[in-house]
Amino acid sequence: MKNIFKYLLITMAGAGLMASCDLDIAPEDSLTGAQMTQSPTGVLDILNGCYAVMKDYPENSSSNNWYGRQFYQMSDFSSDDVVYGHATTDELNMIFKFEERHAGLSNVASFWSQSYKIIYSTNVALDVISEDANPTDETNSLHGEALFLKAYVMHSLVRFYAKPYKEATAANEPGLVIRENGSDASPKGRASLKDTYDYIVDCLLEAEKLMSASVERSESRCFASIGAVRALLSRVYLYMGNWDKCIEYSGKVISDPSYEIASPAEFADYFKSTWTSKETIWCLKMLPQDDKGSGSVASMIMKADGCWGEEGYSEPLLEDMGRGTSLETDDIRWSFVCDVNTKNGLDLIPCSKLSWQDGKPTLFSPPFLRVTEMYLNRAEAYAHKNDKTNALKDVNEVRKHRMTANVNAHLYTEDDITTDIVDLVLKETRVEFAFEAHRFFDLMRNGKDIVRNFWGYHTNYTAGQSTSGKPGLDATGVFTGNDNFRLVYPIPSKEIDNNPLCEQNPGY
Amino acid sequence: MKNVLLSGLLMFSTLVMSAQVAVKGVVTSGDDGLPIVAASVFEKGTSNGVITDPDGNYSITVHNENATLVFSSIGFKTTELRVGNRGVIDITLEVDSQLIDEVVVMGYSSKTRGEITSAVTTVSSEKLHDVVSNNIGDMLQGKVSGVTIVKDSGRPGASPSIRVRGTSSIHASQEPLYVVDGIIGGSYDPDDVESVTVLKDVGSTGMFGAQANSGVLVITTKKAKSSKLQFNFKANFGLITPDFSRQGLMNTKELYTYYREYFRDPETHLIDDLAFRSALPSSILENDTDWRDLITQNAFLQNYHFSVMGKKDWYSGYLSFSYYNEDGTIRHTGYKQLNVRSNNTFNLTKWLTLTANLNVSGNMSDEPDGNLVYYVGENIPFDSPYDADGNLRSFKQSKLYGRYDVNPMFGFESGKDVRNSKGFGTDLDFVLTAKITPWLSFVSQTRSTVGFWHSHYHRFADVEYMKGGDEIEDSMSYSYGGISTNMFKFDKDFGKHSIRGLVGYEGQMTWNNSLSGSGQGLPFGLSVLDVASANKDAGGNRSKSGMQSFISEANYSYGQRYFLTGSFRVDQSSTFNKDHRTAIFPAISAAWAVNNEPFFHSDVITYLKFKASVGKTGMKDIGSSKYLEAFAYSTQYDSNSAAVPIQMANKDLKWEETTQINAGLEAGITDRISIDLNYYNNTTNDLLIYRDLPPTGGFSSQWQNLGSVRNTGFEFAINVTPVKTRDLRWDMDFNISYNKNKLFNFGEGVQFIQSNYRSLSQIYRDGVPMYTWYLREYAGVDPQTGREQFVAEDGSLTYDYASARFVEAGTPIIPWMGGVGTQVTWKNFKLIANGSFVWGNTLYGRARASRLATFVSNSLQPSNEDKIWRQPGDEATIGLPAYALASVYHTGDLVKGNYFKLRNVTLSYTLPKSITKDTGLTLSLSCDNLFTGTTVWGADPEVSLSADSGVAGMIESIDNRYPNKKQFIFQINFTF
Repeated sequence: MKNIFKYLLITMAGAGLMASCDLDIAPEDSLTGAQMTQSPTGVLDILNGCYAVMKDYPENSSSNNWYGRQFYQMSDFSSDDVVYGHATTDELNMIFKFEERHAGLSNVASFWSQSYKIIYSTNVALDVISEDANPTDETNSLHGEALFLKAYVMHSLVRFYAKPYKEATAANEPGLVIRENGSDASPKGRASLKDTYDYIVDCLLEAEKLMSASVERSESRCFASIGAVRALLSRVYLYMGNWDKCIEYSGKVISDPSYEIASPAEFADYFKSTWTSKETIWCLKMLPQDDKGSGSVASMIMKADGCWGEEGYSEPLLEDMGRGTSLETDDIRWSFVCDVNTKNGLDLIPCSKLSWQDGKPTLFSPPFLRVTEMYLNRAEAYAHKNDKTNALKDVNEVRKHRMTANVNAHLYTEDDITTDIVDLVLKETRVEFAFEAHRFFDLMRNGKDIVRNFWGYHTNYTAGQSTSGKPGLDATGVFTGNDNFRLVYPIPSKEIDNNPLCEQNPGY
Repeated sequence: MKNVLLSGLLMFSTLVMSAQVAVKGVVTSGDDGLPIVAASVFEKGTSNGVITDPDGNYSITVHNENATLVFSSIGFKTTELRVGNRGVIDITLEVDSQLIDEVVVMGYSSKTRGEITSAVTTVSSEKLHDVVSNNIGDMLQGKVSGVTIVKDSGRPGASPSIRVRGTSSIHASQEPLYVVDGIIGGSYDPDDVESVTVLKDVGSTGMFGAQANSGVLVITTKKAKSSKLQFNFKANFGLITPDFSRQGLMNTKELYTYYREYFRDPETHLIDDLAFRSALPSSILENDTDWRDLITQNAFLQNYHFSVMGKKDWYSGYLSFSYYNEDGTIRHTGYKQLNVRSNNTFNLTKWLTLTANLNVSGNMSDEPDGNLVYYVGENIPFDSPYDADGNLRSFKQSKLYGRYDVNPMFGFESGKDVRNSKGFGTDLDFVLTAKITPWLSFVSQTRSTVGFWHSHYHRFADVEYMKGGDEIEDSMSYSYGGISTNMFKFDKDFGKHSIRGLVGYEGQMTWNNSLSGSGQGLPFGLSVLDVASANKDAGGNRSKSGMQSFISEANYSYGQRYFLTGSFRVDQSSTFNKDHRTAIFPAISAAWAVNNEPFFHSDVITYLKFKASVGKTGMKDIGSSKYLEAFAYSTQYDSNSAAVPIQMANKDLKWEETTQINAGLEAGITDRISIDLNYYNNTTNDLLIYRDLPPTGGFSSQWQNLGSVRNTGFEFAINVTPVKTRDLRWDMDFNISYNKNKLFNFGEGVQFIQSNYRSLSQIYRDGVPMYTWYLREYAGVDPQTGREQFVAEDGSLTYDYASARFVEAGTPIIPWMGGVGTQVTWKNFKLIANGSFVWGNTLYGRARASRLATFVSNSLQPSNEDKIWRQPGDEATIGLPAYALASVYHTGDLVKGNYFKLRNVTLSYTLPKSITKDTGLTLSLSCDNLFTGTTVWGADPEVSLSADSGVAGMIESIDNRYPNKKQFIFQINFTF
């Protein structure tokens, strides 16, 4: 009897030794590459993922490291619109303090990586779509959407990491590393600035053709559409100095009945629900669960729950907005100027423009393209062509929609052109797009210097000064010439270290 | 039937042979003269035997006067005596100081100390339990050479990180493998631990193959030792105080004086007092809030452990119950743990034994907000948390000086800011041992594990905090899994030759499931997810991982002089692609016990053994499926599914493998000194690295195998007993180890620089140690201008941080470390003290970094060496505040990480036997972390070595870690 047990046991043991388990285990929150190409919604999901990366960055998720925040900060905090009110160890410090910029900055590196993540996604989508021999309208529209997203992201990159476009020199200046498809990942050099811009324009022109049939998806202002493609063309042509094309594409958007410049009453509440307004061409939709709290765009410039509120309106911006004049009451854009916030004896003027979606101070769906820009792009193009009448007409169209009272008194006539009609247009753009990541680029591409002769931590000598005191023009950080190399961001060292073919911007 | 006949025959013969002799006596220890409990007394050549009672008494009846009695007990030399005509035999057993017969549990098998061929350190229950804690790591600190144990938090329930013989992996896990009662993994209460064996070299860890790169901790829980039912009750009561080390914050007066420096004009060097007073009127001196004092407290600890054990011929059992409750030194935090263990062994038949061990544990923890210590450190003493009427003051409405608008007292006073977690786990072990023949047995051991974890967090809307609004979040996860090992074990002697070994199969699989939900809009007083009225969000995930292995080991010994051990293991893991899934881990080790050679005679050197081992181990703990291309669906866009490319495929990803070499010697000099010396050289190849890629390709990093790291070092441990008399005994332990870490095989010109925290970077390339700091070179404060200076690329000095050159500047990896301990026993008193030290590593102290760069937060008190620049010619360490740079990372902020910590001092008194009779009662007083001496200013020098969450060796600007603690404990230990 015992022996039977023994042998049974030995047999069992032997069976145990032979047993094996299945070790092919795939993750349950992700699809593999092969699964992705087979999924009927694969392309759609990847394109949605492009927008998602602009608000969440799963590779290195953190509420203060996301595309939108870096985009707004890298742009506006470099301009003459914002006061740096409290020194911080956050690397946004180096956005304000040009002379301390270097290639190792994590925020500058994140924006670069996040952008190329989106470019890679669009390339994967484009690779899959190109296999489709008989595309439907929907597929063509997705194709156009992928091209648009790629162009949008590349244009944002080239504005930060390369010099402004000058037709004469663009062929000799470095632009971006252009990634053409999903398997283009090995070390590669930068294309010229001209080739980069041409590539962006080609993507957009092809997208315009592909998106001509109307599909349900692009009716939402949260996604790309033919209007967004044309609006971006208007912007890109403006940056290239191609005034006629800029005028043509601005006109196409302005005449599109889907878009309409917001009235003063609408504009007061516009930023609380950008995706619902005809003012918006394309916005990045943020749901309440996407609220970034203290890491939001609004956090640094607003004084409310969850906000740092350490930055605010600069003196010259308030000057251009007409401080001390009737504009303070008549111009709806003054409604975003908050009461003075005093801390440690220092005064700051917060901005509520990017707050209050769903009643939350830090929730905001950034409109990356809105129709007012088309008027001002066209106005600037006319101005450069010295067509004062048409330029003023567009500027005044904008002002008509921003004044709550005495509208006619606030419209410009030729007499208001004190120096240059371009400056007048830029002044209007500054006021209209304050804190919306326009000012820095507008100054750069128009060859203007950055002058920040107001109190703030962007100068070296700050703490002992009162907020009303102005630093001398020779103080560090006050005057920065347009050609200062630090106004072009460094290519992140992560790229330079791992891609020997990629050239660093001069000076770094 | 045969048996019945046989026993009948025996009974008959017993009746016939009537010349039996009764013997009794007392067995005492030659060491201290105290009675030895549970010593065995056997009649030689028979199965007739008894065990001594707690007073050392025995009584036995032997066959006749010619019988020989064998007295033995663990830790003593076995002694034989002929009975003769004596009726009373009192005997004193000599201490066997070398403990060569001590059984050491090695995981899959056990060995006697004398047989061991590798570097192994055992820490007994007694040595462990001078420190009171809920985890073993705290108890091992400084007690094992070559083992680094670092705890960077005093949070109740926090456990330290453990590194065996340096750091061998860059991005894969570096925690050692735990083996509880012979089975990989498992949970236990430290009070149930009989011994911990640390396996340090491949001679013993090779058996664990792919999981053994970072060493193995073998934990053995208690088992019954004698047939007498024994109860033990132990109670600890303690007082805990927060220990911020050398991290003093400024009070109002100090900070006010300090802030005044901001108003020094860089040109005239004069302070503009008018501007200063207008910004900071002297009226603010009326407030002096010690924010840290408001959130901390002296806390209470209580810990009870009750156990009962006993054995009979067919059964042996151990049952325990323990409760641990530690309040945190931060108010409203704490940790409670409940543990039940039942160890049961049934001798089912003569050849079949079943062991069933059950461990059930539960814990609850109340945690502080992760940023609380930071906010409180930054809050300014000018501000008060209360208004003039003594009510809590809202920071949102009133004008304040601090930066964060956080009045932490809101959450405290009302209990409206709650975060806690609960864990529950059971381990059920079944071990079946079948003796098939006298030399062959089959062992089947299986552990099933179930774990459950829940964390809850809510904050009501009226609690003031940086992040506005109310919130609720609940996360739950459960995991289950099993590991099963089936093996044949053999053991046979051929004359002086002895062969032992095992061969078997092991499979393991773990499943994890998680579920979480969050929301906002909580009604007054309610805090469950159901009542959240806004922004409800849910999440959940599922994963599994598995491994299977072939294991084998063979031991050969000849005449107790020559020992040879070989092991061979094959592992397959789900972490890797099919083609790279299998890895082979062979190891061989040998030892030569010189003192057992016939030619060796020495009265001085009583014990001498040389040992050496070589072999391979591996590592795979980087998470599952890292070789696959993956698109993550963990996000959405405007409520649509969104896929984000998150992982780049690497089909070639494979095991990180370490080739280990160890050589050592053990020696005993008389019975007073014992020495253990080891040298090792461990080379880890194909390091698993989450390597940076050019981001333009779409991915910032990818899992790759690249480069090698070599850890070489030595470990030296010595135990000395300078005094040993009947009443007084003094023991001293000292251990020191040295580790050198060096990267190679990255290739000519290949280097990668990682910045896990902003632009604070560390470099990896051939020839430097791991985690080498790569920072801009600092050159002190310019005495003429008060500006901080840097060294430019060409070696000249510059104020321009952005153009300063990068230099390699030390590593946080610890080269020298060790421990020292002493124990004095005088009659019934015992005094124990032990400490540990670390020397020669380099830490990055952000404590210095942002010292004067901000004007809106509190500051650390400057050290004695610090001096603020005030006028030209000043040799200062702190520059003019007007020029202070924020968010810069340079060599000026590196500090030496040297420290010595007096871990524990314990005084205990055991009541004399004359009073306690059959029972034992020991009272003790102990103090943990009594003293820290360190070169680190502004933070506790025990800094995390973990690179997976942040930067190894970095100290935050104001140390935001939960403060370490001092403990004062009173213990009662009662055995009956």
